[in-house]
Order: sequence, then C-alpha cells, then structure tokens
Amino acid sequence: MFITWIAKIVAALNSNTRPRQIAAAIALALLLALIPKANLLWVTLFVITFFLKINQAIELVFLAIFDLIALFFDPLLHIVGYTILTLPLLRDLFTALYNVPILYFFKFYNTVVMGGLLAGIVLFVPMYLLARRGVTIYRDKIREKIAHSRLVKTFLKNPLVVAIKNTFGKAYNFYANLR
Amino acid sequence: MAKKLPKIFRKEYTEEKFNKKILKKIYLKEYKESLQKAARKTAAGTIIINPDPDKKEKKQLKKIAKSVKKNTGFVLKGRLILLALLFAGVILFSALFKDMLIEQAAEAGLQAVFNAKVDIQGLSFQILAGRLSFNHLEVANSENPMRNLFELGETAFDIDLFELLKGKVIMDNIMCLNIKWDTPRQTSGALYPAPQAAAKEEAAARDEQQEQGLFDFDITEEDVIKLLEEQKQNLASAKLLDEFQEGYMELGDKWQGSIKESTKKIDDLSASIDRISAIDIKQIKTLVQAESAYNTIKPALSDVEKLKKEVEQSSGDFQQDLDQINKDKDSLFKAINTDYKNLAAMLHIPQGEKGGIVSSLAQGILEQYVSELYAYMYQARSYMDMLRPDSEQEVKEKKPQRYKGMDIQYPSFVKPKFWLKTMSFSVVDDKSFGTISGELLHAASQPDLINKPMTFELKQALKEESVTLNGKLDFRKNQAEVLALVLTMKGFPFRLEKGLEFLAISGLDCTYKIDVTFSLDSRNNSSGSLKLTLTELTISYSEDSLITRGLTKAIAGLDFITIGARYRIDAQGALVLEITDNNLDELIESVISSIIEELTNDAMQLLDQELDKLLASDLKQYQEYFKDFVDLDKDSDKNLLEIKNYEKTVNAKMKEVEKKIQEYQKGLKDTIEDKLDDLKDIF
Repeated sequence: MFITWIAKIVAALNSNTRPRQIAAAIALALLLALIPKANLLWVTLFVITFFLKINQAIELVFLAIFDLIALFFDPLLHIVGYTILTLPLLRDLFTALYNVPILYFFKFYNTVVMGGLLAGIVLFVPMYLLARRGVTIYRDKIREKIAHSRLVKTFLKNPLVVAIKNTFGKAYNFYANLR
Repeated sequence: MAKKLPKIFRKEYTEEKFNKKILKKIYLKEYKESLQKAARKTAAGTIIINPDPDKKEKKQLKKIAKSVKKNTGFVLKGRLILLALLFAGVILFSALFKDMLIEQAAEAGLQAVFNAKVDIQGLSFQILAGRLSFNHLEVANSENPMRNLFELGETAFDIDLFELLKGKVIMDNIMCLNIKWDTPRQTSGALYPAPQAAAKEEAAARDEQQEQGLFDFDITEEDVIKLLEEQKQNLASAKLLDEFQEGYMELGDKWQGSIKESTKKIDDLSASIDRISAIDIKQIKTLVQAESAYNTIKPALSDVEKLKKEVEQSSGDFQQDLDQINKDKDSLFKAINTDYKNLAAMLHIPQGEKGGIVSSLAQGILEQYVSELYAYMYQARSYMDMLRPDSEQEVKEKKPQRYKGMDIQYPSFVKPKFWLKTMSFSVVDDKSFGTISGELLHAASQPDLINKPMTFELKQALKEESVTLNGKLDFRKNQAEVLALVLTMKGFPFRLEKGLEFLAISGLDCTYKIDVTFSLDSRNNSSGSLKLTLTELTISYSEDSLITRGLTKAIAGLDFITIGARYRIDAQGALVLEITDNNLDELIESVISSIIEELTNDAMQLLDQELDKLLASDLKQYQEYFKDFVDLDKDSDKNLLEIKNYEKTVNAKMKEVEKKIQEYQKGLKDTIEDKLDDLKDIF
C-alpha cells in the first residue's frame, strides 16, 4: 500500500502534469482532511474534486497523510470552531442556516467541522502556493539529480522494482485513459 | 506521413501562439527539448513540427501532445457532461416511467400479498416532496373474484424527507378517502383458478341460563305459618323469653318473700309507733313522767332504725334486679323486631328502601358498557405510550467530545421522533356500517415538543344510527387529564333478552341514545358520566305479575326513558357506578309502591299476628312476671316510705321528750340553787 502511494506521488511528480493541478490536489486534500468526514459538507467537497482537473491520485494520497496529522489538531479545531459558532455577531446567520433543512446535514454547527472548514480555507492558498513552488523546484532541480543517482539506478534495475513499475505503469495508463 | 502526427502538431503556429498553446503547457525539461528539436521555423516565420519524425520522436511527440491536451482548463468537462446526462436521464425516467414502474411494482407486490388482482390508478411519487398518492386502488377478493376485497379512493401520504434523514418520522398528512368493502367488479380479479372454498365451521352459541327466582308478592297465611314453624328454633326472641321465664321465676319468689317479710316487720312495729304517737307532751308534768316517756320511745327508735336499714338494703338490691329486668325487656323487644325483619326478608317483603328498578337494571348494563369502554381507552393509551421514546433518551445530554467536537444548538423548532400531523379517512359501506369518517391530529411521540395534545374524531352514519367520538390524548408533562373522550351514539336498536327473568321480562326492545364522557387522569383514575335515553320501548313478558303490570302501566305514560349516571374507575380497575337520575324509577315506584305497600302491609300484619300467636303464651307469662316485679317494686317502695315515716314520728317525739326533760332538769337545778342561797343567808 505504502509503495503504491509512493509510486503514485513519484509518477505524478515526474509526469507532465501542471504543478498547479498537483498543488490544488494537495491543498484540497488538506481542506478535506481537516473537516470530519461524516457529514454532507465533506461529501459535497469530495465529490466536487472529482470534477476538477486536479491530480486525484495525489489528492487521495495526501488526504490519507493529512488525515493522520489532522487527528492531533482536532482539539484546536474545536476551539476555533467553537469561537466562531458562538460569536454573537454571527449567531443570527448560523441560526438561519441551522433552520435551512438541507444545510442541517452539512453539520456546520459542529465545532470541529466549522474549525476544520475555516482552517482549511485559510491554509488552502499558502498550501497551494507552497506545493506549486515545491513541484517546480523538484522538477527543475531535484528530479534530474535523483534520476541520475546511482542509488536510484541500482534500485530501478532491481527485477522486483521493474515488475512493480511495469504493473503500476499499466494500471496508471488505464486510469489515465479513463479520465 | 504527416497524418501520423498528433493533431496539434500538424498545424502551423506563430511563435507567440506556439509558446502560449504548447510550450507553456510543457513542464518537463526533456519534453521541451524534444519539441524544440522537432520544431522548425518556416520562411514565413511560423513554426511547424517535423512532419516526418523517426519512430522514437513520433512516440515522444504523441506523449507530449497527450499531456498538453490534458493541461488545459480547470474542470473535467467529460465528467460534468456525464453527470448532466445522468441527471437528465433520472429526470426523464422520473417524468416518464417512475410512477408507472412504481405503480406496477406496487400492484405486483400487493397481488402477491392478496393473491388476487390489484389495480392502482393515478399513482404519483414525488421523492423530494416525500409524497406518495394515488387516486384509486382496488384489491380483488381471491375467494370471490367478481368482487373486490376493498377499494380505496383518493389516498395520500406526505412525509418530511429531511426529518426522515434525521431519524424522525414527521408525517404531514395521511389521507385515505372512500374506503369500500366487498364491492362488485366488472372483470374477474382472479390471478389463478380460484381454490375451492374451505367449509367454515360455525361455533355453537352457548346460552347460559340463569336460574333466578321470580319476585313473588302473593303471600298467604299458610306461607307465614310455614315459615314461622321452620324458623321457630332460630327466633332469638323465643329463646330470650325461655331464658327470662326460668330466671324470673326464682327471682320473683325471692323478692316476694323478702318484701313480705319486711312488710310484716313494719306492721309489727305499728303498735309501738301508735303508742309513741299517742304520748301527749303537754300532759307530762314531772321529770319522772318525762323519763318514763323517754324510756318508752328509745327502744322503739332503735327498732325503727334497724328495720329501716334492712328495708333500704333490700330495696337497693331489688332495684338492681329491676334495672336488669328492664334491660332484658329492651333486649326482648329488639330481638322481636329483628326476628320480624328477618322473617319479612324471608318472605321477600321490601323493607323500607325503594331501590329503583330501572336503576338496578341499568346499573349492570352500564357498568359493563363503561368497563368495555375503559378497556378500549386503556389499550389506546398503551399504544400511545409505545410511541414515546425511552426516558433515558430524553434526558441524554450532548456532552463535548474531544475529537468529535460539539454540536452547537441554535434556536430551532425541535420536532419529535414521530409526529403525524393529520390523518383522515372515510369508509363507505351502505350494507353494514354506512359511512365512517375519521380525523386524527398531532399524534406525536414527544408531545411536549409540539405542545399540542393528540385529538381525534370519528363519525359513523347509517340511515338511522350515528356515532360520534371526539377525543383528546394528552401525554404532555404535568397534564392532569391524560385522556378525554366524548362519545355519542344514537338511533341504535337495543335488545335485552337475559338478566330480566326475575322481573318476568322475556325481552326488552328499544332505540337508544347514549352520551358518554370519559376522563383518565395521570394516575390512571377514570371518571365520567353517562346519559342513556331509550325511546320506542317495547317489553315482552314471560308471565303476568305485579311487576309486569307496574312496568307496563309506567312505560305507557312515557315518551322516553332517561338514565343518568356518574362513574369512577380507580387505578386498579375497580368501577363504582352511581345512577344519578332516571325518570322511570320514580314513575314505576309510584305505580308499584302503592301495590307493594298494600301487599306488604297485609303480609306484615299477617306476620305480626302469627308471630304474636307464636310468642303469645310466653309473652303473657313474661308480662305477668314483669307485673309482679312492678307490684313488688311498689310494695318495696311502700315499706321504705312507711319505715321512714315511723322513724320521723319517733324521732320527733324523742326530741320533744328530751326537750321536756331538759326543761325539768333546768327548773330543778334553779330550785336547788335558790334553796342553797337561802341556806347561805341563814348561816
């Protein structure tokens, strides 16, 4: 599983994918990871990402990674969400939203959901810019060095790695053709 | 050869367009190098790709073209189009086939259940509105395919889908109109050849005949004598008389002797008293005469005092016995009275209380009616209880959880888990029960949340008969009245064949109207009132008797009978029903009571006479004894009075004599003193 994830990231980074597609996938993964999953808001956002030109493989991989990290920030998100949801200024707005039938299922009134949503929105742009810059740097400066390093060459010549690469390559091509 | 290149590389580009449309979308260094290697500048200054690349270059160019194509736009148009198509398909399907398919599925499902043809018309299912409705549904009878088991008219179910997703069942409306049973069909409703109907066994009705004796007012002298003979040994008065006679005989002898003896002693004293009375104090001239009189009186006084003490003692003892005799007399009269009443009861003679005949009849019927009503209401209440969520769920508080956060509650109308806002139905069946319509409002599992009680109304109308039931079930907290019900039934025929045999009534036919109120409180105590109005009353009698004559006479003068009652049922289900008023009892009582009174008087007189006869000899003896005691009492009193007079006479005489003696003694003393003074002077 872990190797597959690494392979997905490597494949995405080394393909001619736009850096902003990768960066958007990572930023969206962060947003989705910060929001608890059992609500219509998360499902809606997740479904929307399927219609965006982002790298879904990267998104899923980073979603899994960010999920593990976000767990530790839930108490902090709770505080943020609680602060926002109990702001007297916004009380009327939230009351109105709370009484809209469909919005009830978005669980925006949950402190962690609201905290996660806000944190996700706030962190989206920095994460996007950072990721895009990272991809560019990788492609311009690191990629060549890694590709030509002895370690990688030896690793890539390993029969097992070759077999995995071929299998994954076929699967990836199949997935890419589907898209 | 040029055709083999990807489309984007077959065009000519200006340098600017080439950079913008192709080079800017290539992010890999080797791709850029490959493309730049394959790109050539024409004489016109435009850029074209080498139309004849080698195999390796061609492969690379294909890869590049593919990736360039991918790196355009932000949205996956293909997926969006697919989604749009999917939506369009769903909408189209919904508009064209959804209702039809659901209708067919429902028909197939119901046919499987009822094993007969089912026809649904005008079915409409609106998923977002949460509404299912149809105009008509008919289910054929599998055993009689040319008839329908039932038909439903306009029917609709409205449910709040959003609340359903929250786990709450909020039914805005349930409506089912024109329900009909056993209606004819134009075509056969059989799915398969109808199976032969199984023979039905009829349960034999068991009539339990109550063996109850008739009221019999025809009491003859023989009946009374026979009863007295039978009950002679059990009469308390006779036993007391026997007991008294034995005791009084001894007591009478004792006191007769004692009082006679006292009288004799008094008589003996009379001679000496006469002598004392004859002493004339004025005639006593000397001290010697005075002393002589004194000596005569003193022994007599001693005898009088002694006899007085004896007579007083005897009189006191006699009075005690006499008191006991008087008490015995009271006991005897009480015993006679009790015996009389007991004997009268054995002869079925009404004793004073004129219990209403109609009340007595109605009591049993109404008690049964109320009990049944109570059972239904209690059952209804238990069903409503089932709707209520567990109390644990109610008190469960949402506490902040570390990783799940906390749901902030905003002002909102919190709905109960189950809430049926409106339900209405109507049933049409001309043959058996006419038209029934009903409406139910606000059936909710947590009525406190909606702050409304559940109300319902049921109406049934036939040609003559009608039933109206209005009710309120209130499970809100701190509500004293849980259930309130008003039931009105009128025009129903009523026939009573059993339970009136004791009145020689073989059947009672009438039309009745009943108004019932029923109230159940939170402690399960019920109370209410009933008003029963009977009209067109016809009574058939098994035989002619006094009561039947009375009833016939009473009812002939009435247009209707009203019986009012109040009742209470405690938490244990014990029923107390009290007839508050009825117009027939009074009438029947006035008609019959005169006859009963007459017959009762005769019977009582007869009983009195016979009882007197039975106790006459003993009573006569008793009366003689009692008279003797009264006479003895007089003698005793006379003795006491006489001895007291004697004492008074003797005492008075004694005092006079003593006074005379003192006078003489003083005179003598003065004379002696004078003589002594004279002697002193001499000496």
